[in-house]
Amino acid sequence: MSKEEIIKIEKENTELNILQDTIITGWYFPKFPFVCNINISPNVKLFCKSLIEENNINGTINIYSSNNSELNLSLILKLYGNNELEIANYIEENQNVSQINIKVLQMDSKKSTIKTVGVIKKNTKDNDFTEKVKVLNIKEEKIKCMPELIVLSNEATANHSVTMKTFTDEELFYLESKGLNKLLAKKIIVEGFLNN
Amino acid sequence: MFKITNLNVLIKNKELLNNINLEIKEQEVHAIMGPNGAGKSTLLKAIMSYPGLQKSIGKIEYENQDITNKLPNEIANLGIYYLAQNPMAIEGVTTSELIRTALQEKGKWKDIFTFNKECNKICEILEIPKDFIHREINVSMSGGEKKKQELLIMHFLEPKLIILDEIDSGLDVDAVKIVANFLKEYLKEHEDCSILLVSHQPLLLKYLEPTHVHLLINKTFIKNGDKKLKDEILENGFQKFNGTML
Repeated sequence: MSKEEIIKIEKENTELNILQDTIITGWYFPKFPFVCNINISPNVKLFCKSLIEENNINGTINIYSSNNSELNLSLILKLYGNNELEIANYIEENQNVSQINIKVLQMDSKKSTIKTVGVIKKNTKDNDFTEKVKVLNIKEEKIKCMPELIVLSNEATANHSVTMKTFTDEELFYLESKGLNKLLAKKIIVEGFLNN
Repeated sequence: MFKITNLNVLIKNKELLNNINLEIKEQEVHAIMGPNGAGKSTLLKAIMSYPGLQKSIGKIEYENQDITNKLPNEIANLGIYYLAQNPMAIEGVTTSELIRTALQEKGKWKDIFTFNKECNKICEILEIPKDFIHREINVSMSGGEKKKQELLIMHFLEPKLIILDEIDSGLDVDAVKIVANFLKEYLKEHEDCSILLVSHQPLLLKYLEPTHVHLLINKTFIKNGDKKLKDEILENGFQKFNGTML
């Protein structure tokens, strides 16, 4: 049986232990720099599918996976202001499955840096790690994406990808040639990006 | 109904088309033929105000309106539908969402039941699966499937001038017939409609016989005619016409 939880990061250093199957239903981020460590217990699943609309985040989320645990993290980050966010998954034991999907939209003309880290430790076995980061540049903003994947085990499956896109002339022209004005065309592309 | 007068088209000050003149009336099917790189696709894109293409001289008129400098969506909403040679894929957006949004913009959206019923009917005619409407626009589709999907969209937008850039590319023999028949039926059902197409392929031009043929060589129309010109071109190639001028 799963429990639902909202992750409230209220201190500079927060430690959370996930002892049973959990569905994260929301996040609360502070307006000061923070580090949040989430420890997934053995044989436990942590599932999160959240839309996070925030401004001026500055912090790190470290997720530690134990034996036979499962992490399924899907985040849509609609960001305002300047943000610096690191999301790391450390796989320290065996037979873990981690799937991380992050979509990033910068909604104004500020700057954000998103760092994603995956570490599979030495002497671990049968771990499966997949991470996909997709960024949509809406305006002239700068989004910096820094993916990092460190695999120290010989018996792991791991892959990560980052795709960055903006509105292309061809996409916009296609939708405009169907009768949509430019604003509506962009809106539909953003919605498509979020839904995809 | 549709008229181009003395049109020159440039990109970054480089001339792509020179002194183009064209007039299309209702129920006419105009075919533009010519060697690769002549400017055929450029002309179709220029009509739709494709970004980057400059119309330095000349005018394009549609239903007595000057559309030379109108935006693509404005041109589309006047009743012109453009089907590109390689239709764009838009991830995350389904065909049904696009059609619904476009119809809502025109104030022509009825209801989901009418829409679905009409969709099913058109999918059957075009011989495409009914779930196509719920797939992402042109994503992971074959060339032929993309073209049929574009015709499905066209049906709902009800254009009066249909502009087709090599619609037959990527279509198998049977699909060419289906597409041609679909267009012929559409033309029959819409008395004020006409078609402007680019094609090299005898099969499409056999099923969808043009009433007017224009030969575009080296950035300009060098000869205009009817279906006899088409037959001449298909038999003899373009070399015969090099050096010919209107």
